[in-house]
Amino acid sequence: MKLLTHNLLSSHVPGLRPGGGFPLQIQASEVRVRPVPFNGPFVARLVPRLRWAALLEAAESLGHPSSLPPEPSPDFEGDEEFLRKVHHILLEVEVLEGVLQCPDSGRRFPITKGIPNLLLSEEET
Amino acid sequence: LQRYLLLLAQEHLEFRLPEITSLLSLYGGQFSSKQEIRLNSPFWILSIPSEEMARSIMKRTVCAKSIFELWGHGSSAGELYASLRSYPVDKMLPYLQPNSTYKVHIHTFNKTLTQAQKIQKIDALEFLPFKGKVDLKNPEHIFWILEDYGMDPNSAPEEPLHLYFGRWVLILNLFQQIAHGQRELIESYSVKKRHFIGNTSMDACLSFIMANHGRVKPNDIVYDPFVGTGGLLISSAHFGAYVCGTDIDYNTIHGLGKASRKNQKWRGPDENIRANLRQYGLEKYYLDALVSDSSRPIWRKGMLFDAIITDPPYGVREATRRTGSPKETVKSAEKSAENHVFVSSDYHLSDIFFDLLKFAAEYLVMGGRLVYWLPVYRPEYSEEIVPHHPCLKLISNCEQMLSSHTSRRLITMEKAKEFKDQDQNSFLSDGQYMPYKGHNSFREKYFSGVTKRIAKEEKDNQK
Repeated sequence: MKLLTHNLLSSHVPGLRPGGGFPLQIQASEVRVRPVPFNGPFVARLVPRLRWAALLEAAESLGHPSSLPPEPSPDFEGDEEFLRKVHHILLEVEVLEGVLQCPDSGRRFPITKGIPNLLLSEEET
Repeated sequence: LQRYLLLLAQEHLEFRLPEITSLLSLYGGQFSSKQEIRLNSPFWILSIPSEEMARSIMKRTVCAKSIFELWGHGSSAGELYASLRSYPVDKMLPYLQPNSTYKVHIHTFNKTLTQAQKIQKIDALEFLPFKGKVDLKNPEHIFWILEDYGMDPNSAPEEPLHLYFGRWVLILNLFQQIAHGQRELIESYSVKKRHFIGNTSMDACLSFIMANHGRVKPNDIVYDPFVGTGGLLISSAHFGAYVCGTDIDYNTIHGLGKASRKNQKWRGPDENIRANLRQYGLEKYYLDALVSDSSRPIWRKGMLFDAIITDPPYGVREATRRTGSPKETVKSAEKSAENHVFVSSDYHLSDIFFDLLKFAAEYLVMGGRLVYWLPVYRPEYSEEIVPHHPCLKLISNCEQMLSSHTSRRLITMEKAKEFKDQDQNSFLSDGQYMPYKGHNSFREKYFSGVTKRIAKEEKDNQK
């Protein structure tokens, strides 16, 4: 699981208060860094769609504190150094094994071989 | 605007117009005039602002084989020659230079000409100011005469109904890399060769058509909520989009379980969606695959995806499933229990599309497209049963027949209105939005022909 995906995911356990499922807390037992070719325009497109604080927090929790600023600067689109850092944290750091935990309900979703399993059981639905 | 002639492949006829329309809207250009597009004809005339745009279109299209800068056309040889005489000479000259090489090729639709006839027709163009040298092996410029003998190969007229002459748009000095369209690509992406095959891997052609109907562009994020083996993601990745998918089936996402290809027992450890993309050099576009139930979205609210391109289960080859009912238990692999869906309810076909449209309305960017297959029982089909949503505009609806009484329709919708929470279920009460519910028994209807035939055979055998 890449941190870009993590930034878009929310717990969907029934009965949560609005926004209570985001962000999922990552407890990783195995993390891998794999290079991905840098694509500045793609990263620049992503920045407005991201929840920035959650991204920084996730990177921190994986032991990859990014040297990213607390907020993207207004002219981030032209800042290649910034975009490369964002690229690295969004696309090159992957959780292979671990758990995603719903902040409100505590429900844990496993990540196996890089693939999160977000299915709820019959009792929960 | 320059006129170009598009030579189309005579396959997937219904899908061609939406594909070319989508590509024109992506790259620029338009149909030159409504009357000139005969939908079943392989010859379409377009007006495109630049050759660059014409090339971009040809790099994407599956439905067209070639494109030509149109120098003249007419419904008789005389008209063609007159048309050529009135084409500005200064536009021709750059391609007819004394130090250049060329050849003239003749292409006929629904007629075979003898070699003598071909030579005669080419010679008739001597009046054109060709100054270069003929080179049949490796010319710089290739001109085509195209003749249309009508739609019926069994009763072709003596003279062609329409004639065209144009310069073939190709990449100069690289004979293999002609801007021929995507036909070669189809061969390399053929399903048999693909690393990972599930029961319902899509025909490669149609998956590229779907990405084109979806107006997929480089740097888009494309999502497939019924991703299966990831076949549909490949075409979007090929066009430069970053792709992700979810599926309720743990085994398929992980590449486990019985292999669909004959003679293979088990999908190897690297037989999954990521490996699928890797074998085409598209791994950099892989975002993620996740196990989840598409009727219970796992995403935070917002306009996250540029396109949703998917083939939902029809309930025929792949079972339709959803978590949440005590009725059935799904047979699963040896993995621990918490990794699998425990049960599956009878997820009605119409609910799948209801949920899909609702999802697209909420999670697509404005102008983003939803492209999906809708299974249809033909004897009861009418346009009204195609699912609607107040935020989505219907762009196209193309039929592919599966059997005499079933088909599937490729539906393309575009997000035209922002999703507000009130939209969520208010239209439920309005019966007009889900008349597809009647199609719920699609599975029974699909099999009804089969069961009737078996019953008849048994009865005949007893006699």
